[in-house]
Amino acid sequence: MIAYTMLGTNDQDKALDFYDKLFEGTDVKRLFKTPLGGQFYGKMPGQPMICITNPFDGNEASFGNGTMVALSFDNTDQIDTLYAKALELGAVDEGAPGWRMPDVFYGAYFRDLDGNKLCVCKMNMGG
Amino acid sequence: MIGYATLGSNNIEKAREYYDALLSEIGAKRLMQMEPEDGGFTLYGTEMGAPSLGITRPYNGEAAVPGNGNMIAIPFEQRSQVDSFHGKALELGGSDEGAPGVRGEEGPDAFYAAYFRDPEGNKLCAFRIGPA
Repeated sequence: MIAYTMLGTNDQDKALDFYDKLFEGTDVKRLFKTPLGGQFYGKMPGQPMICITNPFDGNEASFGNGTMVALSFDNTDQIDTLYAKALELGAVDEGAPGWRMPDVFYGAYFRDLDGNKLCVCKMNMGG
Repeated sequence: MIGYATLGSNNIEKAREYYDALLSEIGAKRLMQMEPEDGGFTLYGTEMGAPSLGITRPYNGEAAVPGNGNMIAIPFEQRSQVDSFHGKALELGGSDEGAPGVRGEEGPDAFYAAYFRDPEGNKLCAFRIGPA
């Protein structure tokens, strides 16, 4: 039910550099740009994507509170690596990797360079 | 790659009413929920394992605020479904951020979209990619 989510940035070049490096070594890559220059990242077209963009209204980007995007990956090692890499690239720690729900949900939390909150997780929830 | 996305709420009961009614349009229902005193995290989806949408009081206990530049986009198979979803979103108390219509060029891969904010200001998009 979610095709994509957008996250706002006030420094698109820096933000894209962050996400390029973060996703290096995973199967997530740059896909296409929006007419306003926003960059979509995903595994392939047709699957859920995230887009890093300047806000449509031309005003300053802000991160919400309560707003978060959780990116799911296949194994917990990948979560540990992504979390460590995010912090190395300048992200702010919001919660170290660990099982939040035993055997069901393994997650780590951080904020990107613009303050957007993300979670990288491995979910064993069927499907 | 998206497991789920969350939106913040300062009134979880009202938010649940809104999303119960709105998301029933696309066959999504509550998959998981916590007690309101525990943050009220409520996860909506069509099935476990598919990307889902969570409504929650912020984890840090502060007021929920929508971000600018943040948006969640929900896909549809037909333009008429985009129209009715957008209509329902407004009827239930959302605000308009862009009426249904083609953005860019009409054609076999046209992007037909409608935009709205939920009652707490979180921005969402309903869209269909394809011919009329």
